[in-house]
Amino acid sequence: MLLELLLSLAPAIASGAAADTGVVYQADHVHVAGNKVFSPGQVLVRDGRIVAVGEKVDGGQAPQVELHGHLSSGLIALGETSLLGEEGTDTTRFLMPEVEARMTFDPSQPALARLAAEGITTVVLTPPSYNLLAGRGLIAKTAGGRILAASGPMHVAFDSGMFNDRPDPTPGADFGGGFFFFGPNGAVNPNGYRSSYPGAADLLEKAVESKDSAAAGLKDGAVRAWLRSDSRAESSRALAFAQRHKVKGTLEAGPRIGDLAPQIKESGLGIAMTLFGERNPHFGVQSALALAKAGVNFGFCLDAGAQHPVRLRLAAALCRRGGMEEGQAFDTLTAGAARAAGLEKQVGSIAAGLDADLVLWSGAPTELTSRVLQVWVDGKSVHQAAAQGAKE
Amino acid sequence: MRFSVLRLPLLLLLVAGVSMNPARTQDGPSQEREGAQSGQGETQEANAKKSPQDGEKKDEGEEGDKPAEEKKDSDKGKDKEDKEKDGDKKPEPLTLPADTGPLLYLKGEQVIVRPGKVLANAAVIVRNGRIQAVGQDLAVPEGAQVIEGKVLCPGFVDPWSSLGMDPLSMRDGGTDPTTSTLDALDLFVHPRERDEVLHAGVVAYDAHLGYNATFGGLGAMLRSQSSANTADMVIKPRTALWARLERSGNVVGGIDEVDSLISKLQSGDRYLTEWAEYESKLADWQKEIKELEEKLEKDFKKAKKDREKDLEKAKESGKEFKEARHKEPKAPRKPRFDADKDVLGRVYRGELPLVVVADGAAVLRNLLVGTAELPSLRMIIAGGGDAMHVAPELARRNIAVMVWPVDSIAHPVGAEDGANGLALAGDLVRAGVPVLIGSGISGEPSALPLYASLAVGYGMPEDHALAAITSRVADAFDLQGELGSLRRGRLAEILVLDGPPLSVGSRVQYVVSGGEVVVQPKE
Repeated sequence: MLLELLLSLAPAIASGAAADTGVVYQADHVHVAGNKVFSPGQVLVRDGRIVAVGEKVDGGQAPQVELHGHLSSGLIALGETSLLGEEGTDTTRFLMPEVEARMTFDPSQPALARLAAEGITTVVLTPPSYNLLAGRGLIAKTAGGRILAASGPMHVAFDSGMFNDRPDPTPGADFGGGFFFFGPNGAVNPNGYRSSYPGAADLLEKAVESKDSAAAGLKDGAVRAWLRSDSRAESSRALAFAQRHKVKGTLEAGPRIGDLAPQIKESGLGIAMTLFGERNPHFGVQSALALAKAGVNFGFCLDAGAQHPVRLRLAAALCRRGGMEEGQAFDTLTAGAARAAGLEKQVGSIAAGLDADLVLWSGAPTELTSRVLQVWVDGKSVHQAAAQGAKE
Repeated sequence: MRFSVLRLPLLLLLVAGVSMNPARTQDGPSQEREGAQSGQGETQEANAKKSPQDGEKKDEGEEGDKPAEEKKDSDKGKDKEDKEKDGDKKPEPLTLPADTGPLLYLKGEQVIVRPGKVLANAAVIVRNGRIQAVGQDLAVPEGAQVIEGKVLCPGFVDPWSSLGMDPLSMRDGGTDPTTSTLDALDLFVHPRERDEVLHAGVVAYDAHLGYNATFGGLGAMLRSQSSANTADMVIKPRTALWARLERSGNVVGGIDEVDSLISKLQSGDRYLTEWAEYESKLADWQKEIKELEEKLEKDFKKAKKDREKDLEKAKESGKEFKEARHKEPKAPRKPRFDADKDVLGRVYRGELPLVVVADGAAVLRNLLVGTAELPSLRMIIAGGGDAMHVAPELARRNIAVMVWPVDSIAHPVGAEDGANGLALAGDLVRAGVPVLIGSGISGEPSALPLYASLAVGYGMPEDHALAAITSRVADAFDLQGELGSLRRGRLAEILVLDGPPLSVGSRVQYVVSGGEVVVQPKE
């Protein structure tokens, strides 16, 4: 508690006088959101928040800092699975809606700093999809350890092995003849029958309808949901579930999700797309274009344990190469991703009242040739690129 | 007749000696070396030296109907010579028939002649598969197809690609120095991939086999554009010898592999020396035989008379007649032909570059120590995960590193599938090491320009990154006369873009490859 208090005071203490007056950042280009850019532009930051943005802002007593390059809001990575502790992994229960991912989160892990160094300032952490209901996820900053939403979205895994109606092909997974059968991920099926789509769907429906279950909050959008899916069939199931219970939240989906763009727009769900890379990006890019055309809010998932954080921008670059215009591609990394995860009032663009998560780039943020020069989280500088050598 | 009998085997020997003769002309290595050296430097002085008529100024206003046969590069002539020597009966891929192919007039607001050199509002004229002229005041030739765009740029060249290779051959463990890439070139596989690669602006690529062997064999420079005919796809059939160390994955084993690699190169050199010695002995012997023949011919009448006299004498005296015997000098013994040693020897002598795939610091250090005493060797490191540990030595010796966007064996920590290798590119350039960028064994060939863009994001200057997929690649494989720049006489491998080549927002609108428009805007 004392530590938390100290941590929260730290920025104020460190910045001293600036905490009162704030600071005006003047940059060659200020990317507000989408295609909106001030060139040059100014941003007034006070107490970790953006107070004003424009071609010129009235900073009062605030000192002005000249920045050379492009200033944008910090990038947002959705659906990160590898940054939660092992404790979050429970393969013995199908339903554990009461679990909170933040209990297993270590804000000092070095992987977060690597994300920050690539300009990613907000990350949505999702529990692994072993469980049908895996509890509440976590939304955190990549520096400073601040948790954005005390309780993140409730996770429903439509890509859980439980929904798989075929027996697990792994030898030894099926004990047979006992009272308990093991689902494809080793979860014990309390009902004693083999895990299957109807069985899993039934369990899920009962949990949502039960007044005793934390999952009841999913109904009518009282608690934001994070619906995990991969294949088109899984996404369709998730979509039907959301419509049946008027669920609000985010649908995590694979590269073929574009086919369902009109239905998704109607459902009001945001999309967290599985990250695609330069290998066979065709379906992912086509889906992204379809979602953008339908006006669906979406961003990209990142698995920092297996994927280099620059891949987030690579996906946006592939979208651009596929014909997406610059502002839209930029939004998939920032404002669009924020809206997809219901974070638009906190992060994702440079607007008054939002967190001062800023990135200074050497060029336009969607260009792969641009590099991160400096990163601020909650108004505090958390990363500064080493000076480039003289050989340039 | 005795003389003709003597001559016949001699001629045969001569023919055989030449056809299997691995030794090159004296000036061969030094000439090629010059090209390669310049390749890694900033400028292309060597180019200028080789083809002084290439300057843009001189190109201005020249429609130049001179066809491709007018080959000024000694390289090419030599290539042809090589093939004849090796008995390679394949058709010469560089020779384009006269007066074929479209006449193109490409105009750009910016013409990137080579990375770092840009002409404003200039044009390029293409005919017979080659660039005929580049300049700012070129008139449109009659009958030319006119293509206009914002940026003209040399087509991208991937120094290490897996495109169109049979996957099993590519990872073969049993290849040797003479293995030819062309043997695994599959013309009919992945037409969509070829199309994507071409649309990304990658017009040519170097491919090789045997990733799991010490020697992957001879790489080849190929066109990305599909063709039903292998010869149309080959820009250069033998670009470099590829070798790989650390196949065992352990450090000490890797060091052993370095020793073995170097001793094999040395044995190749000895082999060529043996052949050279044989040739000189053969020449002496031939001279001797010739002199003997001439002497016999000259003395023929006298000898005949003498013989008749002797015969007469013998008859008179009733003694047996003995024919005079001519003692023939013994021919020198021909060394056994060994194709592998032939290639290794050429590599040792710098006639062919050696590309070594290696990552670990220990192996790289040993490789550099081991090759320090091989002054003619032209080495390129591929992969080079730990190359920063030996960067000063690489910079001093001007050894290029071919970086590819894949996990480096030497960096298990942070070995994400991603941009590690490309961060290395920026670091190496800052340390003064020349860098090439390739898609590598498992990268995506169509993403080559994105990899170059990422390298810029990691601090590689933009001109260097563009050079790393154009001119530097051409230089590294002795193709500076063919690829990597928009100059007169080069192959017509040209991109027309609507923005800077390394911007992800730029579209490749037209691709000219092999002198023809192979990509154009849909509609």
